[in-house]
Amino acid sequence: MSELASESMRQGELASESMRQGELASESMSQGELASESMSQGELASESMRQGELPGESVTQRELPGGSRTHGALLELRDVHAYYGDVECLHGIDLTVDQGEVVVVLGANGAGKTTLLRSICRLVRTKGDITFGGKQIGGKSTYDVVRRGVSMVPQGRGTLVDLSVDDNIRAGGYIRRDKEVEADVRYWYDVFPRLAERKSTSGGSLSGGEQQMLAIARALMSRPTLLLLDEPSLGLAPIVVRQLFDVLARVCAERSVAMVVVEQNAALALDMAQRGYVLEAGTVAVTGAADRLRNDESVRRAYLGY
Amino acid sequence: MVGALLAAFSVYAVIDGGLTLYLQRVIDGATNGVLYGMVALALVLVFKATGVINFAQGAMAMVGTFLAFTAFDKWGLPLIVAIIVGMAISAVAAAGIERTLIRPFDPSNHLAITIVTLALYLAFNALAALLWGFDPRGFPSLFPTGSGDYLSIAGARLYYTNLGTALFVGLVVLVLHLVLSRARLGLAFRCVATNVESSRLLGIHIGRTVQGSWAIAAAVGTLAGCLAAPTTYLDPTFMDKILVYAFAAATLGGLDSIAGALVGGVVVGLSIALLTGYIPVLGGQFALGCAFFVIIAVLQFKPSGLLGRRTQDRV
Amino acid sequence: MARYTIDEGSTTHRRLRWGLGSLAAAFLVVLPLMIPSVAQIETITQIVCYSVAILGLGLLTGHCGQISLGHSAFVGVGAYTTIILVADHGWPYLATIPVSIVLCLVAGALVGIPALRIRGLYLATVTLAVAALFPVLINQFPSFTGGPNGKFAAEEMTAPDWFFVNPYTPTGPPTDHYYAILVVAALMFLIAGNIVRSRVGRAMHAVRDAPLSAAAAGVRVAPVKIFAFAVSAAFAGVAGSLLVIQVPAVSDARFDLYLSIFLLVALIAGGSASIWGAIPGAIVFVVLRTYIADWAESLDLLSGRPDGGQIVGIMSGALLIAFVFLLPGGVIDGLARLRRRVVEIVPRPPRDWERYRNATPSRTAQPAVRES
Repeated sequence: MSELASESMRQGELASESMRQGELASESMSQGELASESMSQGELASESMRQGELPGESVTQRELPGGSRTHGALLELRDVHAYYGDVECLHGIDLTVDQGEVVVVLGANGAGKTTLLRSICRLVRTKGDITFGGKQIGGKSTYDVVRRGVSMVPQGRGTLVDLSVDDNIRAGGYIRRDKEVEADVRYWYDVFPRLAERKSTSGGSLSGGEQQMLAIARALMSRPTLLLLDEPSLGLAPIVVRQLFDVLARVCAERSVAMVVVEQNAALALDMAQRGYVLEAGTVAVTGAADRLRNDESVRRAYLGY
Repeated sequence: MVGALLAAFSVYAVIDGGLTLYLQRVIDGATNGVLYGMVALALVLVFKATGVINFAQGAMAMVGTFLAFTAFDKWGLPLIVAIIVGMAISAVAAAGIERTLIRPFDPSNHLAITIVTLALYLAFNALAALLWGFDPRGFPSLFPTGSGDYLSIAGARLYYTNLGTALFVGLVVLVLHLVLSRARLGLAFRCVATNVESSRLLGIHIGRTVQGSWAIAAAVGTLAGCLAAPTTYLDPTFMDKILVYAFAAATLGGLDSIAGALVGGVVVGLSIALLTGYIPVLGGQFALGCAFFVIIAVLQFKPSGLLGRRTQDRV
Repeated sequence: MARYTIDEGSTTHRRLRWGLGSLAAAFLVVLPLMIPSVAQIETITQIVCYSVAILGLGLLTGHCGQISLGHSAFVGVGAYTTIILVADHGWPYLATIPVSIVLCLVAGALVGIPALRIRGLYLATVTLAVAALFPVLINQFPSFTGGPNGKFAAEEMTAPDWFFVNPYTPTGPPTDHYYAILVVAALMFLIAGNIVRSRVGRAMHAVRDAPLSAAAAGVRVAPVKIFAFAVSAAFAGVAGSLLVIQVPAVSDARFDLYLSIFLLVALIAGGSASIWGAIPGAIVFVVLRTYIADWAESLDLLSGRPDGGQIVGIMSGALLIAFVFLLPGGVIDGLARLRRRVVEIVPRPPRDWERYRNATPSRTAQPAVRES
């Protein structure tokens, strides 16, 4: 394991070396080249080649053009391992998210997408560096991370079913003590008039789409700088999904909120995102710009099924 | 149907023993009932926050009452101040217990936490017996207890103690209601009671919220103990019976409803007073049995309790 | 890690199990003959009696995930059944055990019936009422139960003449009792082991671990809970009968809520996941209730006040918390861990596993990205 680490270290140095000397432009290349050439700057390229953890099978992480950057990265994960009990579920993930950027995470069931989000907001035990806004949050609790500006819409929407819709939204602003909370509550009622109509009914009585609206409003009530969304389209009609994504894109652009979206509906998510990561069995298999990912033959065939 | 049964029973009772006796029994039953309801309230607070029944709630209240008694008797504080001191110490101690003995466990490990509360029950009872012994002591009442201090309602005596107790309980419920619906802690409490993981993602400190509910529950329990002690005697076992009735009340009310706890308490108190009063076979000894049968009967028709929320779990 | 590894089901494993089993049996048979003191034989007999009650509670709590605080009442029902039948109707002691079993099955099922309605640990509140009610009931019918004065049988149980223990030595009668109790207890352990491994045992485990999934898989949760309650109560009843066989006297004060709680303490201390945890549990129980109390009183901590019971209460509370924190699996789990350092038993693969060996889901459906 340590050998492997030093190996990748050495490669990283080489890669950054080549950056400085060769000034490889981020022009399109054939796929064969893509795999071995790193387009990223700095040390992050160190992970451009990684051995998969599965015996007898090597998964090579490739970077497509428009891959990771580090300049002013809001969130940065380096070699993050996550554990449920003694079982390791993520085997060294590298990921960056810039201010205001939308990043999509794709992958098959069990690839570790949800675990990745849970690692960021500290709901699972992890090893490795996680920095947010330049500060290490790897050892912090969810309590701290939320206060630093991370917010998450969990899978299944996490509705507080016993609380009224109004209380659900206000609970979203729990960590805030400023005077603009009321204004924000009104803002969200304007964005989702359905919620305003059902203000005093209990959260549990809402439909799936309404609960998802509620979840988004609740998550953004804390005025985060990073929003994590776990399968927002799950169980919703396509038209509702489209509306939700439009609202999300608009609000996040307005407020410069970065997003990490885990989605099964790859086409939809890639439309909204600037960059994407494809996870496989707890490692990053492919990363790159969203349109590249969409057009990448192997990615499409392997992960998206069309 | 229940209403008709109740009305029929009341008519029978009035014919059997006269209106005065009937009213008297209703008053006594209801007064005891609000006390059971108050302890049940403490149980419900902890249950909502943790999903666990605190078997040590009564023992903690008993120790708190002894502390209040000590503050009154030994330190010479005025009774009301002594009771507040007892409540404050109980709250702090309960917060400490939560931090050291409850929080280390995975909140979903209900069995382990329940067993810890049973351990606390044993330890507190033994500790109180060691410190204060088994001699029963008279606990002074906050209210005038003279033989003339009562209101007469159709011949039945509504003592000021009964009235005061009921008022106190009402006050506590009002304050709790305000805290839960208005205050930040209340919002956090309701979130945690509904969905722990969502609450965590909202930046709510689960441990501190649960700690808060333990502290409040302990204070409420101690107050209930101080209100109940004058009617019995103060000794290390005086809460045991009340606790059983409080369990009955909380279960009746649905365990997750604060109003339900109070209603459950009154129902238990009334059924005990009326059933043991008018059905001679049952006798005073059988109060406990009555409580038990009332629970089972009610749950047969309303499984989630009188005011409890019907829960739906997902696999 | 382990020094030796043994395949489950191999000849070595079987030999080891049978060897250890017969060794333990031989030890239990010879034990009273080695001890000259009546008091010590009685202590050991008590341990055997209570181990049956703890075993029963373990079936309910450890294997079905329900807490009962009412087991003192079931032990009491068993004890009173035996004493009444023996003292008033002249039954032989051992013949009363089936009656205890039937009565406790019924009583347990009755207490379990709210399980049809109440979910989770709430059932514990109902059982608490049962424990509180039992002494009241006993005192309510003094003509029947002796009320607060207790009830006695004139004659102790005697062994048949052919039995090898000489009844005319001081240790003779207690040894007889010990053997009778031991045989019944062994039978109960056998039954418990079979229940746990049976279909209904698996259903109990499913109800304990994931009630909803169990229901979804076709387990009828409420009947399983009621079954567990009834069987568990029956075991407690047998323990009650055994206690009377040992000392033919009962009083209501012995079967209070504290007995229930102490049984639970013992169960947790011994280990609730394995039926064998009942044995160390019973040792803890008896040591706490007799030795520690005596010891605390002999220390005279509180200038002559009879506070042994309080010391026991505090120590039991502390012990319970210590176990839940440090050794949640109880003594039996600690022993198993020690054993695993020396001998590792490799579990047998499921039957017919060879057929599935090559049928593990391949990853061909989702090919890994490889360089072309």
